[in-house]
Amino acid sequence: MFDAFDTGVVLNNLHFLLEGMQTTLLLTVVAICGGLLLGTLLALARLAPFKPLSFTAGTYVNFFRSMPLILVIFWFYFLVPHLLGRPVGGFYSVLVAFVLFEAAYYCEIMRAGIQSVRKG
Amino acid sequence: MNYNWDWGVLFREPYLDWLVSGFGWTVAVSLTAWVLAFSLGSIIGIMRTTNSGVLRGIATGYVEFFRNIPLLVQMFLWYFVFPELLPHDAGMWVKREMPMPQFTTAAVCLGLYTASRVAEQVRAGIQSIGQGQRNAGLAMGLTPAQVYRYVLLPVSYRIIVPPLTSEFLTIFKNSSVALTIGVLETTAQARQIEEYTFQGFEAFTAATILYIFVTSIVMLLMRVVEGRVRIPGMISLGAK
Repeated sequence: MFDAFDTGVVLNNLHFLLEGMQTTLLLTVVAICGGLLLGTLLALARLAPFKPLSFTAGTYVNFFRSMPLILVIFWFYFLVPHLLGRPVGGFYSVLVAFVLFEAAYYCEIMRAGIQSVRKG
Repeated sequence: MNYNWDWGVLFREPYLDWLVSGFGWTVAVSLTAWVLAFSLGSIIGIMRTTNSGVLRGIATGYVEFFRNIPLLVQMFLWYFVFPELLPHDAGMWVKREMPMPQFTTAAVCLGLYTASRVAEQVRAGIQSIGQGQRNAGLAMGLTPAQVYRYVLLPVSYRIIVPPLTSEFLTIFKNSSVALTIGVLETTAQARQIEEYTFQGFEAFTAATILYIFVTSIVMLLMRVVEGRVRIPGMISLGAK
């Protein structure tokens, strides 16, 4: 069962894994920062007394929350080059997708946080 | 931005068929996985609240293991690695002869993953009731199994309906990960249509609408369930 098991494969190609990990961490950090920022703004918009603003923010959040992440990534991989009129790498497309997607979730978290503080 | 709009592509053969079958697979994978997730998750969740240290340890290990590995990686592990770890014949059976290998693997993987999340909800539900009712049940001479069956579970399941609803919605969205091992569900079909016709806007819009459709149905359904099983005075009507 394990006779074909070769740990050398992993050790010899460690730099691939490390490179991948770098991308993972970079994407995570940027997505968290961007998502938090946009999410907070969205949460403020959602709680705004101005109806059209809160409605738009609500629609945005519900829209992104009902889509699978993979579909969002495909959307932006396809959409971003179209909007900009020139090809951008996969990295930037996925970055935009992550930030916009995470913003919807952070918005809900921030909103819950803001609402948990009582009016008084 | 120059783009040739052609919404008709969605209603032309074979693309319409693709979308319909993709939607069917999404629903099939999600529901199969949900049955597994709900039953296994309940067992694991209950195990985490028992008095036996061994059972608690096993259940905690399960939850930590499955929650801390990305779903995508788990999908690959089950599909590419798991058959290799089996004895040769069994591995071949999983890879080739098992009915619909991709579908089964995806449903099982998604089910096991979601089970760990459901388990946490079930545990939270049981723990929210507090120790008093359990002790009262035991003091009345009920066996521990009876305490769970008649005292703890009926209340805790009703408390956790709202978080279970969002878990149920998540399983539909997570089922899109099955495309990575070759299940042609909604997202995969949308992508395929984009590749064949270059009508990405139309294809992805269709997929988006299908997901919104299915999540809306689930929300409506669960709101009815929520209203039915609500314990008066205990929880407010949840997810809005």
